[in-house]
Amino acid sequence: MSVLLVLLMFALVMTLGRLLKRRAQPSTAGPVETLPRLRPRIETKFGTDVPTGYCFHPCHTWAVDEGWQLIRVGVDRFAVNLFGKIEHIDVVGLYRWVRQGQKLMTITVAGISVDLPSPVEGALTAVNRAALENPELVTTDPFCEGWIAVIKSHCYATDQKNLMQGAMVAPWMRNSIVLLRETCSQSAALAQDGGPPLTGLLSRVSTELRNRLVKEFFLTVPVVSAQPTNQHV
Amino acid sequence: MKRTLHFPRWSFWVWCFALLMTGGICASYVRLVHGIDHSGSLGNVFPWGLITGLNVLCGIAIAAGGFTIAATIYVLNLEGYRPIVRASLVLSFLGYLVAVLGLVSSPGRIALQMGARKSNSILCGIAWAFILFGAVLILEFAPDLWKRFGGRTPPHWVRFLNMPLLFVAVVFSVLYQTSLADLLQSVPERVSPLWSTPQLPFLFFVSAVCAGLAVIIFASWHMNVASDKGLSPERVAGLGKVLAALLFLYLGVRIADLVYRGIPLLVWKNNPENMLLGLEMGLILLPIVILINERNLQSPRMVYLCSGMVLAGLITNRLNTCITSVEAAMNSKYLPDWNEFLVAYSIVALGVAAFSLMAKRLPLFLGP
Repeated sequence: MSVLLVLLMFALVMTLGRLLKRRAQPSTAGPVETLPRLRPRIETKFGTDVPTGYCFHPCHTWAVDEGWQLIRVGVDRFAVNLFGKIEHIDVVGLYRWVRQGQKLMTITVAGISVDLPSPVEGALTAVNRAALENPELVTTDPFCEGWIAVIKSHCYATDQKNLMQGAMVAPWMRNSIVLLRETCSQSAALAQDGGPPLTGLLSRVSTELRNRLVKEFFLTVPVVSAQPTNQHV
Repeated sequence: MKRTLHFPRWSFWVWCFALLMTGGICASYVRLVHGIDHSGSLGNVFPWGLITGLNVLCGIAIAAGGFTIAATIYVLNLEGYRPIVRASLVLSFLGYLVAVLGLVSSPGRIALQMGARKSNSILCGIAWAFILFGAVLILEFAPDLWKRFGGRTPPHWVRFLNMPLLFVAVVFSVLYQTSLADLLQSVPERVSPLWSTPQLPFLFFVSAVCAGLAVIIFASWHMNVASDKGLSPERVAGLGKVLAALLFLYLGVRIADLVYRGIPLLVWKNNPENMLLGLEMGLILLPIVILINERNLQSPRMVYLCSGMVLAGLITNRLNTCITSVEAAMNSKYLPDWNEFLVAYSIVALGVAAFSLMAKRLPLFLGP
């Protein structure tokens, strides 16, 4: 009977673990934002905003270290300009572990969904519910009020090496704009002076060009979306 | 200046672990000082109790299984399964750790045997496998450690040494698996015929490989739940297929052996040992039935459940071999003492804690 005793003991521990885990699962209904937000110093270079101290993923998501291994992440001005009016934002589940470059959010715009990667690796500890409910916040203030999530990362120093930072950011942004201009040279989507791209370029161009732009700047393939869901987290 | 006492904010499981370890250390001290006959239910009738069954036999089974899996992947160059090599090596190492701690907790066993030059001793084989295994594990993680301490590429001799060491360690682990089975067979009058069979070495080995696979799937599930760092569903499905095939082989040989020796007639009697044999068989048969279905294989949850059943089956088998069979043959009862419970569970808890720590710090599964 000692065999049964041992098996029962293990079963008890497993059941207890499962129950405790279920109880500890936080409710996603309430607000999850607790961190104070600091407005960054933003310089305008080549017609786009470049905030000081921010690091950028090549797929146009940003990350900023807020101390205590907490990294606030969001979408940069270039991407927001390209998207125009955002219909819906979907973020992967709260407390999920995401790797650098792994899908963090899906942005639905003009009937297509674009997956954007996480700039850092870690556990998703907070999401900006205000931005998810009102995506216009992301469009108007992408670097402060329009942040998307906070990730607790133990390896930010390592991840940072793969991100654009400091003096690298402005030339990279300029290259992105030049590349966009070249890609869209056949269409009349740019401003008359050849300056910054028109807002909401993705919804103004042909499907083929749109797919090419998404592939070029977000390294993904857009998916024609159905009705947007309301399952944010 | 007013000083306040701050207690660390530990989680429920950390408190449980701390309490269990304290109890385990105290119980081990009592065992080492007063001897096993004064601090447990063990004696001449039951020399192998809960600690030998749970820690030593199960630990060694998981260790040998993981080892064999790693060596098979290396030898057959199964690149698709390369991501599980590290996890299987780590789990094997922890299996050995649990086994060695189980042996150390019994006074006068491994401490004397490890130093002695007895080539025919099982404990000597275990000790050598443990040492070789530690070396293999260090070499496996050497590239990561090398990079962490500032080096760019590890020297070539690291890769060169790894393979021969792994092979020697596999030979040792297979040999003492069979030696353990032989040891049980050397006293047939003290072991029930339900578990004492000439096929025991083979059955021990196949069940060890099954346990190795099951523990990898089990660990991968928990790592996926905690941090999404486990195996992908496709890879879990692949492992589930291999597990089902091996379980089928094990169960086939087990039933054929029972039939060949005319045991089924004995099984139909309404005894506790027959019920426990039924439980053991059921815990092997049910995963086969579930994993045969392709749809179940595609569900990581089902494969995880099956791996849990296989592990429970392994524990039942080893405890049956070690305790129930002796109870049946000697017509006596054995109930582990609190002392034995504390030592056995504290060693298991130490193994689990060590794994969770390693899973957090080291890249166990290379790639999805």
